[in-house]
Amino acid sequence: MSTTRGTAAVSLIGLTKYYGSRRGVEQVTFDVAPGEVVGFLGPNGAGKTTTMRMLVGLLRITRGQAVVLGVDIARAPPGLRARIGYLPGALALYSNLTGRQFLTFAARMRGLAVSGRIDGLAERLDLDLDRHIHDLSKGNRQKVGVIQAFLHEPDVLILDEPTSGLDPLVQREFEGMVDEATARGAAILLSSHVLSEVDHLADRVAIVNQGRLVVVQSVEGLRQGALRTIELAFSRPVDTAALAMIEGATGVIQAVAHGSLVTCTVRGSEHDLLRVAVDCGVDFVRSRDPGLDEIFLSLVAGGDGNAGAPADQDVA
Amino acid sequence: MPVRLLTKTWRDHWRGLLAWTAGLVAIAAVELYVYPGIRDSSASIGQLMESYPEAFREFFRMEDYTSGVGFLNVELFSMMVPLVFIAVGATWGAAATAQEEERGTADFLLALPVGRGQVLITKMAATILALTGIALALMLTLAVGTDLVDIDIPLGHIAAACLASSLLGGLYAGIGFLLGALTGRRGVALGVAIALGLAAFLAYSLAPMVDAFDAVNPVNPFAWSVGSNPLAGGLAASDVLRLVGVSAVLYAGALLAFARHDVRT
Repeated sequence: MSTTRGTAAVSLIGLTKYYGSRRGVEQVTFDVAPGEVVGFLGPNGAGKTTTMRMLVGLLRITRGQAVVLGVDIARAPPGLRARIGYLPGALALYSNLTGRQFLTFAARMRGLAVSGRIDGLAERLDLDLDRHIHDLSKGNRQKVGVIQAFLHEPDVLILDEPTSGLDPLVQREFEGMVDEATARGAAILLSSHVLSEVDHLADRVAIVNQGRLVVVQSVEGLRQGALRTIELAFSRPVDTAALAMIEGATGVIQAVAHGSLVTCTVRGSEHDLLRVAVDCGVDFVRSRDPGLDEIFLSLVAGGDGNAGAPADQDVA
Repeated sequence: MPVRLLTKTWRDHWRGLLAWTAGLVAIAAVELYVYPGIRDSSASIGQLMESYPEAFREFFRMEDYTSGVGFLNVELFSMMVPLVFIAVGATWGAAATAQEEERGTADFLLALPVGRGQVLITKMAATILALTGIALALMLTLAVGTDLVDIDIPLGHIAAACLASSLLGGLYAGIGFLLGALTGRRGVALGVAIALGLAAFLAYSLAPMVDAFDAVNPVNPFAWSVGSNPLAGGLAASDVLRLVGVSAVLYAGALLAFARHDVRT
């Protein structure tokens, strides 16, 4: 059976995995469009790896559906994987081979002519192909793993913690490879347990926690939806009338006065608050953007949509 | 069938395979080398045999130790050769998918555009070829050796004895494939396959003395393999069919189990 669902390259529809009675993931639903990078985030054990391993057929799907390139994964012929590149999270390679032997094996098993592409990618990531894999450092092994995933220019890339162990220079090359892949229309699902790592790579992020999807949103949307802290400093102590005006401004969730300083918690546009503050004679405005990791942590800890509430609010 | 995977499987195991083959060939050669001495002193050896406890003679099937066939049966085919084939079969069978899984390389291998069935069938083919290779080396050694020391055994009977043992190895490989595919654990698959092989050997060897084991012989693969004395009279078709039939069921079961298996991390 072949199902096409919109124009998505990868569609997860209520994807659920149980290991016996133990829950892996439950009801995970999101899409990855061609040319899009979706960052797949969550703490260790949240179900990222389980979800990704279902997408390449390593785990059987308990309930729900995964459609990759228009084909239901549960009924997909092995040939579909010719168009998928997969980098396992717990990467293990044939350590008795050299990098070149391993990648040549991977290429031939995929029916590819062994071209200069292996050498090109190795040069790019600064990998010595002629050393045995058991002699390589963790980072260099990761490079071999990255190369085998990109080798056949797949239409879908499933990358489980791809940058783990890579130094910053190599990470930048890797980001270049991701950009080139999306430029030719590849759909990429890329997992990490740190949001800042996928911040500049991902168009959207899907966050899972304890086997459930918490949110799917663009990084920008995540930032905008988050609560921010604005501090207004006045030249003299704030009276109750001014504080009431500030509290009544659109977007303000809470305002706390502390002498001549008002600390506001705001969601969405700050326009109305700033107008009111100017009317009240504000001297200085200080805005603190929540760090992405802060948003991530609050989502994962609360999981109730109260995104980005700063944990260290000065409520004296 | 992905030839690259076949050659890779061979490449991974060739040292072990070479060691088993060389060991078996060396033992066969030594036995053949000492045989003329046994034959020349058959009278005194016969007396010696008489002095052994009956149970001992029965365990090693020592009916006609000084004849060429009897000697080779006792020294090689009653124990050594079948056990080597069981060990090699169980080792390759247990390693086939479970070793890839335990080492984590299954995540790479099974994400390639090759079906799981194809992967396991390729590993099965590699195993059958390995067992065939050992059998051929042993057969060649015995064919040349028996000729050199004037033991008169038809080549067909030597071939039958080697085939019988390699089929037994193939059957225990099947147990390894099946348990490896079900559990994903090489140690479990290997341990159980070897334990079952030893149990079959002991049950067959003690059968002349223990009625319960004698009753088990009709369903004992060890008895199917060596019970009809292939070196003396060739291989019974019914025994071949039983060995091949049970192996086929095990192989098919392994393929079904592996197709449904959740690959462990």
